[in-house]
Amino acid sequence: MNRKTLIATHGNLAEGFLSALNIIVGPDDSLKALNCYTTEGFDIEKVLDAFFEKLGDGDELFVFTDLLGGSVNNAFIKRLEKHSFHLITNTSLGLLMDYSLMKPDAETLKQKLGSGEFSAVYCNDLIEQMMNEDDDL
Amino acid sequence: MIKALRIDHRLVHGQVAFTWTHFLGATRIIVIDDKAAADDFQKMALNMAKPAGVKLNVFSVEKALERADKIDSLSDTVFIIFGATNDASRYITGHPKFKELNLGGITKKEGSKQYGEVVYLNGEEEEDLRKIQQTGCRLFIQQLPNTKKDELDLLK
Repeated sequence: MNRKTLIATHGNLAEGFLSALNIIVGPDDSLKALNCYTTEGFDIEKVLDAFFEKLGDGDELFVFTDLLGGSVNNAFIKRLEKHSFHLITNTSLGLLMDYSLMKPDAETLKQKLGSGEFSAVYCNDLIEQMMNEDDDL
Repeated sequence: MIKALRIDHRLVHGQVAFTWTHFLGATRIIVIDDKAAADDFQKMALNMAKPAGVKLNVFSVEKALERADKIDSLSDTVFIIFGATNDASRYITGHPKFKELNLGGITKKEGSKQYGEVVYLNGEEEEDLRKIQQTGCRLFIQQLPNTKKDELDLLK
């Protein structure tokens, strides 16, 4: 299978993710960005029709979107009826970094998502706990 | 086993915590930095920044030198990070066993000269690095594992 990866978001976040990834993990040409609704008259259905038309039978597609319930993710959910691909939403930078570095298979990716490692964290409560870390060999 | 040494003024941050650690397969990061070692809040922040499953120590140069042989013989794959050239120079000249040192980020200061995209050295820092080179340790500037690696020779 030939892995293809698309990051699709509202506004320029998709390219913003690539920009941040480029700084932290370095260039990864295998990741493509789709910024949605940044041009007048943007029609997500048309854009996705064209995108899926180009997808080959031997391609394994991973799509990362920004928001569960958002129109970008909704449009991809609809495509799951006819196309076989992996759809991940509520994407974070940490998740994309891990994905870029590890290129996990779908099963491994599912396990990582279940671990909560990439969800938002309230740092203030971590401080106490971290202050007591043992720091010797 | 010590896998790599790097100078990076940001210590443990995205590039180090994720990209280099992953690339090197490091299981322990040892920060050798007098300032960080004396600052409990910064030590805590570094612990928060370390990648899941990787161990972290923050030592002063003196404490690290006391433990140098122990560090060399750890079963972990160790990645050593210095915050500044001076700490690196004192550790490496005090324990001259290393083949190469990566220059990651060294900030711009008054009178410093640019050597790489994010590597600036003033006279004192050049002197620190010369001392390191004199131990037989090569210097190279490289930001990320998949970006270009430039050798720096200050003894020429």
